[in-house]
Amino acid sequence: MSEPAIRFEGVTKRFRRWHASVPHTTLKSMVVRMWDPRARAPEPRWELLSELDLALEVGETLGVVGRNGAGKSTLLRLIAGIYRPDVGRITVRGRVAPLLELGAGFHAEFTARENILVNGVLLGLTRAQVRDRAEAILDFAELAAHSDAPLRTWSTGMVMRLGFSIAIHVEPDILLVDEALAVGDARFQERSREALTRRVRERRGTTVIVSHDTQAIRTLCGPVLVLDPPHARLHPDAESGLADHARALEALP
Amino acid sequence: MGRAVIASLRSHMGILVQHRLLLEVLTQRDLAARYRGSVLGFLWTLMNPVLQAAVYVLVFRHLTGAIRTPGYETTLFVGLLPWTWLAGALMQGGPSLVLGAPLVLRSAVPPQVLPAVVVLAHGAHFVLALPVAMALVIVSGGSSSWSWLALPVAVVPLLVFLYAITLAAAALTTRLRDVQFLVQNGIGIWFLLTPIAWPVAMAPERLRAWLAINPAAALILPFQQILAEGRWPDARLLLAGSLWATGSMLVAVHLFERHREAVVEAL
Repeated sequence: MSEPAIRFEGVTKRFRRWHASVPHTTLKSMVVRMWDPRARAPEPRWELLSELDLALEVGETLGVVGRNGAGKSTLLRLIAGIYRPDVGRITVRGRVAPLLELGAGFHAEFTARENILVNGVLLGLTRAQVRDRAEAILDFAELAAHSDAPLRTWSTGMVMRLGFSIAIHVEPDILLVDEALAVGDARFQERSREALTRRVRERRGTTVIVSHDTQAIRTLCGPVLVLDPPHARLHPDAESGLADHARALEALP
Repeated sequence: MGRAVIASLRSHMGILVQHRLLLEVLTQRDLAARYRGSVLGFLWTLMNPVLQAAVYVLVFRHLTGAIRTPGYETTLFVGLLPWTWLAGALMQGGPSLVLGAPLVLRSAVPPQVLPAVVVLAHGAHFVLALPVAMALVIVSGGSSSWSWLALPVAVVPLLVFLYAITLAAAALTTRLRDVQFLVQNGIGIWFLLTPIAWPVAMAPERLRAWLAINPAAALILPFQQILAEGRWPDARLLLAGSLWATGSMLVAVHLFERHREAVVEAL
């Protein structure tokens, strides 16, 4: 078997607790801490992921479920390299396209074409690749007629459609999708789900999907990771994962 | 210690090199966004040093008669261009991480790309304004000179120093919004302490040897020597400027890499 596309080895991620009432930083404490890490008082940290081991093979689709604040977005950010683990190691093979928010990085003053260039490069394409795919992206989003208008003149739904269309046309080795399935009107939702399903069925890359939509998890995903901090449980199939997730929700006080 | 600093520098610069296309595209967008919808476009950017120079000439030469040094106008204007780069990079770069948080957290843009884009965009303005300074030198009776070929020797340390201080300001601002106010207030004071509005020759002899402890002086005076005075830049100044650039870069990058996670989490 070849090397997995995503591998977590004993990954722990902690966050510091933020308290608006406590003046956590003064200029002096900050300067002292910067120069001498030993002077750092042990900060209260809260463990979101604890010693997680995970291996996702190329072409697999992982579903991630968990209640709000369970660390779903954090997990995607760890894969995308935005956060680094406190302990352990993450190995990712191939180009990652994080679709954490549709239209992230769009500039309202610029036209669709200009935004496609920047967004495409953000997601790892070269200039030439963006040029080759621009028409397909606009066609899929059904926005060719608006391609030269600045985004501030568009409706929110149109902007989202463009964002999704770029991400799906980038065809990344690893696609990270965060709650992005319900975008635009019913017709576009249908089309975007079809596009995502095609990617998953044809195993055109590894996909990680975070969603509260159990139906989407059931139809798209193989293994499912249930986040129940600080625990994370990996289930080989969607059914047992979703059942576990439901139990975890019921157990909440 | 030394090895750790080298490792920080290598991984930090490696990420910038790996994302060079993104740097290029974002810098272009920054420039394009500034001029979108304006008729005069780049002329506005040029207007700032031109107006500033005009005011200083009016006040110091004509109203008060305080400065009679020949060639004051060209030296002043030439000095204002790198200063404008410095001030612009620092003022816009300081909040760049805070304002660009969505790019870092949602699009996985490496955090150092944002201050780098600001420094590059203002650097592009600087380079575009250089021909204007050269034209001014020639119009006001000077001539082009072989020394102009030495410009890169002055540009590189300034670029490195600006990246270092902008990176530091951007990282500190994520935790401490005070930095922004510190920069805004400090920059006017720093300008007056730097021999741009006043000619170096007016400073007392014994103080002149100490000028290079002000990095802005060490990095900007060479431009005036090269362009306005048409001579090779002073080697000791260049050395001081390079030391400032190297030192600030190593410190800023090492601290940034060591606290990278805290910076990103603070966004």
